[in-house]
Amino acid sequence: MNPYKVLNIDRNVTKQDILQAVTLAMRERRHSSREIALAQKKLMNELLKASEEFVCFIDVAPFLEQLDMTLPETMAQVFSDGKRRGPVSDADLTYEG
Amino acid sequence: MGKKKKKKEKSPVAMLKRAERLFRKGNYPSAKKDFEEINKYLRDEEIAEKIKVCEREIRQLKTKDLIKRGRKNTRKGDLKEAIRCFEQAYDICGEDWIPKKIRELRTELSSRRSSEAAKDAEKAGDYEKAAVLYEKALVTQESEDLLLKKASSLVKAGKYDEAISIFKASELSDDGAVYDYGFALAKTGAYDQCLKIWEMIESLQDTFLKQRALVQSLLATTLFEEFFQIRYSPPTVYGKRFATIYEKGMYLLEGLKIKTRHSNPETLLIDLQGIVEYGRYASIDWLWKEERYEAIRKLLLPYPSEMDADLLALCAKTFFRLAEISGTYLPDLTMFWLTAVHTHEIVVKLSENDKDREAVRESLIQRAEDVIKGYAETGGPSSKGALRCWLVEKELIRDLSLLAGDQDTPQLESDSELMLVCTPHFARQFGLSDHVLRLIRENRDAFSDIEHYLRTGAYYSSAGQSLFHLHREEYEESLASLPQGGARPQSNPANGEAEFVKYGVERVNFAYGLHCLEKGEPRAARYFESAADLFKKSRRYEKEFTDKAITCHDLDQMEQYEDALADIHTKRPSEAIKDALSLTMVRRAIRLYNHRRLNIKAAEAVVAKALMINPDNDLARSTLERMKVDLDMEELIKAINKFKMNKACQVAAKSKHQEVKEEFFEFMERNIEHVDDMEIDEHEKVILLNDFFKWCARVDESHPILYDIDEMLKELE
Repeated sequence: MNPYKVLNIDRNVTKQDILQAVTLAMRERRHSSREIALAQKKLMNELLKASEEFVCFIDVAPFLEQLDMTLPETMAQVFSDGKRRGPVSDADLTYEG
Repeated sequence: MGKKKKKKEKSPVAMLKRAERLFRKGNYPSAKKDFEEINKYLRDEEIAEKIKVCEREIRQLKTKDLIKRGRKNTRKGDLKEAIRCFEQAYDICGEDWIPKKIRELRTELSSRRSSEAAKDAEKAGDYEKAAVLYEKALVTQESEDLLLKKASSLVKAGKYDEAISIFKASELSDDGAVYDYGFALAKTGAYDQCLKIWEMIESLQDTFLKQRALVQSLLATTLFEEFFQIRYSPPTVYGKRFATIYEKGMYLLEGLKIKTRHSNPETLLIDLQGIVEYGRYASIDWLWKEERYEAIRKLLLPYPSEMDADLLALCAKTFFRLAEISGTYLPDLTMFWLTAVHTHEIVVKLSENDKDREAVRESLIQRAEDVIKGYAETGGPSSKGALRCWLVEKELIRDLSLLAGDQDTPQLESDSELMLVCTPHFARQFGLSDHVLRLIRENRDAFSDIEHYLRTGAYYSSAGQSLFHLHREEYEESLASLPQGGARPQSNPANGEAEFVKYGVERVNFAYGLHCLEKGEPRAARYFESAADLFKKSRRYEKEFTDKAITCHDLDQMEQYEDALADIHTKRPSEAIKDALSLTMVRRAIRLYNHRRLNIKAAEAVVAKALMINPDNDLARSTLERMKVDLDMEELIKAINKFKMNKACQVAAKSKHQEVKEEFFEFMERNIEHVDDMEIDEHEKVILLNDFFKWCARVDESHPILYDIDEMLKELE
């Protein structure tokens, strides 16, 4: 069970947010009372919350940040003014069958 | 000389005879001619009837001939002539099927004409018209070839979508059709699909290679265009599009690795790798939210040769989720999870203070262990084995963690960048085993004892896999996967793992030997050849072995234990081995004696030997005593039965056992009681009683029976 999904909240929430989410979840009845109570218990305890956070979230930012995402030189002219043109175009492809 | 041709007889009788013969033979045209000739004069009704028969038969023959010619012309492809034949045949016989055949041939002829016209249109460059004409030809002629020709004309006419739908449903028989299909796909922007289709073409023609390189460039351009449109958007919003970029980009990268003189892979490769990697991780982010963990696993493969903390955490979390779904992933969960929760860079993010961090780490270990335990409780042997392996790896990584200490101040400077606190499987997968072994060797004193040190090293050595097989109760695999087939390692191999491998080999042989014993397999003893060395390292295994030996009840197993213990005893005469060997010898000798498979003297010799091995063996001592009583008793009874009283006296007098003496005196008492009943005279009774007195006195001069005999003698005298 993913308590964040049960309460429909993100990882960086305060205890106040959790309590509000519990009230909302009870009202919406998308999950059983037991599940909601368990989710609340897990997220209100700092240690349990840290464990849940590790299991429930991944962080791809370090991977994306280390990639150089500037437009490569070979492709720069293709998008230089928002229009496609440059080294190759569809028109270069002629029938050679 | 040739025979002179017989002249045709012209008399009516001869003609009629000849006509009849020709009629019978089925030569109706000649018969008809003769019959008509005769009937000019005779005007016979019967002949007239035969003439009619001949006419009918002639018509039928002609029809047959026309149909035959018609079919022959059809086969030859001369449909026009075939139609003419069938038409003439129909005029003669009027059979129902012929018009249908004529219609079919006319349609086919028309189709051929369309096909010819289509070819002409193609030659003239009017491909659209050619496609229409091929379609017309196809109406009457189902042909894959015509269909592909139509599709090809559509490609040349620029009607790519129509062409693609035909190619998609057809079997592409030649390179031309494959090229056309790929070209149509490329022209609709499906560059990746074009390249995949063109993989079927083996041609190295310059023009083709040039075009393929062009399509690769077009695909790259499209991917860049797509990527730079969405790069600043959150990955989760455009997850699917990032996934497509990754998938197509990976495919293109693979294709670009094959260098041709028309592609410039180096630049394109470098440019592409960036967006493909971005696409991979952006897709993973999206797939995580979609809970599609199996798809993430595929994106994580193949693992890089070196793993960093971020990727390790990602792998650990993915396999945790996968293990919740399927027990197949328990080994991967163990490998990544335990390593991740012992990796400093990951652990520091768990909490701000050390105490809480440790508590979170423990709770994470427990969570994974609960998942594995869940499978072990309900699943088969593989999940039970997975739990045993987890528990072993958990202990090993804890030991390593203590050795490595705080990762900020690593014990080995050269290894500071490496994840040395890892499970044996992780170490093997990412080439860290030698580094971990070095860490273990250099911290030998930190281990509680030598066995702890060797055991830890063995799991990280090349014998480690065999040890894990033991935990999964895969004994054959364990033995088979020993390095160098289980031969004792050289004293100083390059990576310094010899002592650990030696220990591993000893452990595996020991466990395999026990497994053989339990299965009742013969020749188990040879696997205990190295057991003495193992027992020197740890008495735990010695105790395990001796406990099993002394609680064994099966005679065959006892024999194998005795052999193995005897062998170990020569190399390691420890108290425990002496005890177990001595006890096993006695227990087995008793069982064999009881089953009458060993005589008392042989049994006594074994027990005496056992007592020599362990003088404190009470069972041996008491058994030996008992056996001596039995031996004396046997000798006494044998002498009495043969009325050899002097011998009986000698045995009873010599025996140290009171039971033997008592048996003798009981016998004598029975004899004395019967003396009065004997039908002998009193003088003879006196002589007999004197003999009794003499025999009894030789055994025990003070035995009370002597007084009784004396009394009886007095009475008689």
